[in-house]
Amino acid sequence: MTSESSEGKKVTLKSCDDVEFKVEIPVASRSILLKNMIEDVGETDQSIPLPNVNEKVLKKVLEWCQHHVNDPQPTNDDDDSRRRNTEIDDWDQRFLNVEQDMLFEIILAANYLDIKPLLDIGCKTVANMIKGKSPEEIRNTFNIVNDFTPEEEEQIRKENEWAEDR
Amino acid sequence: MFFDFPFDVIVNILDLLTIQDIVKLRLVNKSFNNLVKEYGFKLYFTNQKWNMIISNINSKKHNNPSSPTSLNDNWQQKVSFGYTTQQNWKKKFFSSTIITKYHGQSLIPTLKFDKEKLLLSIGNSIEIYYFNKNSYGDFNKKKKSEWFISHSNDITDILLGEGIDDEILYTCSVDCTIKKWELNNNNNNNNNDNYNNNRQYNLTPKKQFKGHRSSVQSIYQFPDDPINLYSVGFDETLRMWNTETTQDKMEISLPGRPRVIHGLSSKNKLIGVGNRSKENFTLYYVTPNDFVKYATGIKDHQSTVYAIASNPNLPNTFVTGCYDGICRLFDVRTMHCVASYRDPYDYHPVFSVDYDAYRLAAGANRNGIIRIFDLRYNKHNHDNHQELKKGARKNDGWSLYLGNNRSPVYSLQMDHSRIFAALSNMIWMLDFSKYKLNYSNNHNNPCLHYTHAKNWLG
Repeated sequence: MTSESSEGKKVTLKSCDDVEFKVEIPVASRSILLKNMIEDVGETDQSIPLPNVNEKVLKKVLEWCQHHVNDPQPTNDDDDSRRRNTEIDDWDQRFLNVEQDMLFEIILAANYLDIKPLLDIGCKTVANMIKGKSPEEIRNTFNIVNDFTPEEEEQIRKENEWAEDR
Repeated sequence: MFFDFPFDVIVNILDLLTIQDIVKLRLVNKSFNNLVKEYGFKLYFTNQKWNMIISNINSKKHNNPSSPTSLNDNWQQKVSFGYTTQQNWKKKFFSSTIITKYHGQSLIPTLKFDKEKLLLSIGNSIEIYYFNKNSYGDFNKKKKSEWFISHSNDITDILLGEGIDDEILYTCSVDCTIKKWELNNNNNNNNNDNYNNNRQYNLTPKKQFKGHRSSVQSIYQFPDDPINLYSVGFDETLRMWNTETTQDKMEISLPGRPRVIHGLSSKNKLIGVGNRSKENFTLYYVTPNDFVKYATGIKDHQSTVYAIASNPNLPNTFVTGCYDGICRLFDVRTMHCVASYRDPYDYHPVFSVDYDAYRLAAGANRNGIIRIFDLRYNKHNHDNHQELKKGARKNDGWSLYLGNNRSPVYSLQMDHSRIFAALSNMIWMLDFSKYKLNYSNNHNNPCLHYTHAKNWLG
């Protein structure tokens, strides 16, 4: 599929705020959604509209696709090993070192565009914001208001006792 | 913002968290609390693959329609059970109970348990203990035990029917016979106050199988084939019986005195017999007209195989316990030994064996010793037997001494949280789901006795 015929060929993507991006097909094909679309439609000059992704986020996502253009396609087999591995490589870590709103939008875009490896590192980044943190720290991180009464909190603490490391 | 994520993204994130992180999320706010209660626990439970092993946790306790949170409570209960048990195993925490004791007697008891009950053969009679339906691992005090004289001489093996046939019981005996029993299921009468504890049944066997000319040593039935029953006896024969007609349909002579018979592969109808011969362990395919010996055999065993176990959750495996003191794990697809387990300081023969997805328990031939091994070569990949190499693993195990006792561990069965073991004069239950429970009143509790867990490596 990524034979020589598609080399250098480009496809046009249009963000929801009507900005067009000309992207090499192998780069766009990191997205399973786009890959399937391109395969179905064949060669076309028409742009592909992406109603769920804005310019800022699409630019960021394409930056990731460009950097990872030569990665092997993930298979279902390594689903488990991917999940277990909570490490994120340095480039990805720097790439995702963005405002929380942006991080969340990248995750949503990766989910919509079906880019599994990007979705994975996004989820890992969010999980790392939760891991080992106190409930108060988590509330601060995600800007959440505590809506429990002290009694309710006490009740949940009691129910959680079994999970304490003995 | 977090809850703007589509559900599968949230699932993806929850997947990455430890149980400590998951329960902590409940304290963040009400939405997180609901998320964890509705999905978090269930997800964690499934990811741990506990659904494969913790199937018999009771759920009826919370099945109260008036309580709207019953389902959520249940998942938390299940996860908490699985996690606590896992931690207890790791730390060698357990409660021990002597279920019954026989003074001045030296017997060779056998035991079998299923979800509802524990069956013991004591001499020539059978005792039944029903579990408490509302509390995993406890016995039903109202319906404590039932017993019935079943043979004219000692019972050597018991076999419980599975699934819909779980009220069917087979026993075999030194008196050369095999008997089929149907237990009356009186579980619905639990609340009947007139119910008599320790009542003695005079149960009549449904069927009798006569033909062996000497003591019947062991019996087996494939779970998916209730019609045929297999037996081995000291007359050095292997027989197949029709359980409807009691006809002895097939018979083949064995190369030596048999100890044990067990099915190794339900699909291939392959049966293994541990016997005292040059072969130590002989295998037979069951064909419609004959037993066909598995020609190449399995040559790993240095002496007689005394115990064979299989596990329905691990269908391509079986385990043997051998007189040479080694337990071996086999892959049915290759018929190769993929791992072996032995106490490096104790070469006593193995008399009984059982295993689940995580552990293997082996009863020794003396001193009431149970050895417990980590079954997995690679903790992250324990399903993949191809990665296991014979002899490549480090024996990671520990021993348990069941009191001050010289007896062999004649019979043993385990599940995710419990080990039941039969010694010559007492029957033990070790429960790894409970630790704190009985510990404080150790002194007053006649059921609790001294046990010693010895560490081998680290």
